[in-house]
Amino acid sequence: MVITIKYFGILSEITNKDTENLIVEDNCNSNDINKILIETYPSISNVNYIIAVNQNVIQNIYSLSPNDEIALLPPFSGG
Amino acid sequence: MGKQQQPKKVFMEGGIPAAFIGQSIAKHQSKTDIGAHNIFLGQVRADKIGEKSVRAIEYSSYVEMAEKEIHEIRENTFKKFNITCMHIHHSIGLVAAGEICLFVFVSSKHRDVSYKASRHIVEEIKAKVPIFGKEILEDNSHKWKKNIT
Repeated sequence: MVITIKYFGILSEITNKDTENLIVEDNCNSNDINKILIETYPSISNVNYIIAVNQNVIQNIYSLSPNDEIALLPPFSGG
Repeated sequence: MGKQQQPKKVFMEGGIPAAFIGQSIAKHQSKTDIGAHNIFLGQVRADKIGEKSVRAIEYSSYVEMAEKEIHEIRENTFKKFNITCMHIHHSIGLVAAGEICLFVFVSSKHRDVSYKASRHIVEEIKAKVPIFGKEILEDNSHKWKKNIT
């Protein structure tokens, strides 16, 4: 299945992308995505990021569905 | 229970002008049930990073999620505090040191709740809204900012 990943802040700088589509196995979860991304972009593991799926921050391992929008969010600095 | 506001545009390109803040205050003159306004303004600091000063912060955001989070903060604040109205504006894009990047405006009948609600909103924005600040230094190098929690 295809999932969309969005990168923000320092993560879009590291990956040199704002967004990309990944083709992944159908039963994949948020941990699998993390592994793929760290393999592709090793230095993202130095960033204390959180993951949002469809604009909600996930606390636990999340089973992904086709067309889910994943966002990697580095520490916030609004205000 | 306070009156609910329609979702409004939160993000403004660049620094928030003092005139905009003044006009917001003026718009409340017709709301004569209000007895207290509380305004919080966030301003970009020219922090020293090593030998260099910050000359601006470039803000970016996951806008769709940020608007959803701010909408939730708004709803929860209306539930939690007996306030009359609330306005939240945040900058996006480049904001020079000394310019305003956050404008929170809370109004209520009496002062106590306006202070509490204002503090609550600002803390919630800092903790929950996906906004990212890139500190641009004098020599155009940069550093990504992190909120202190």
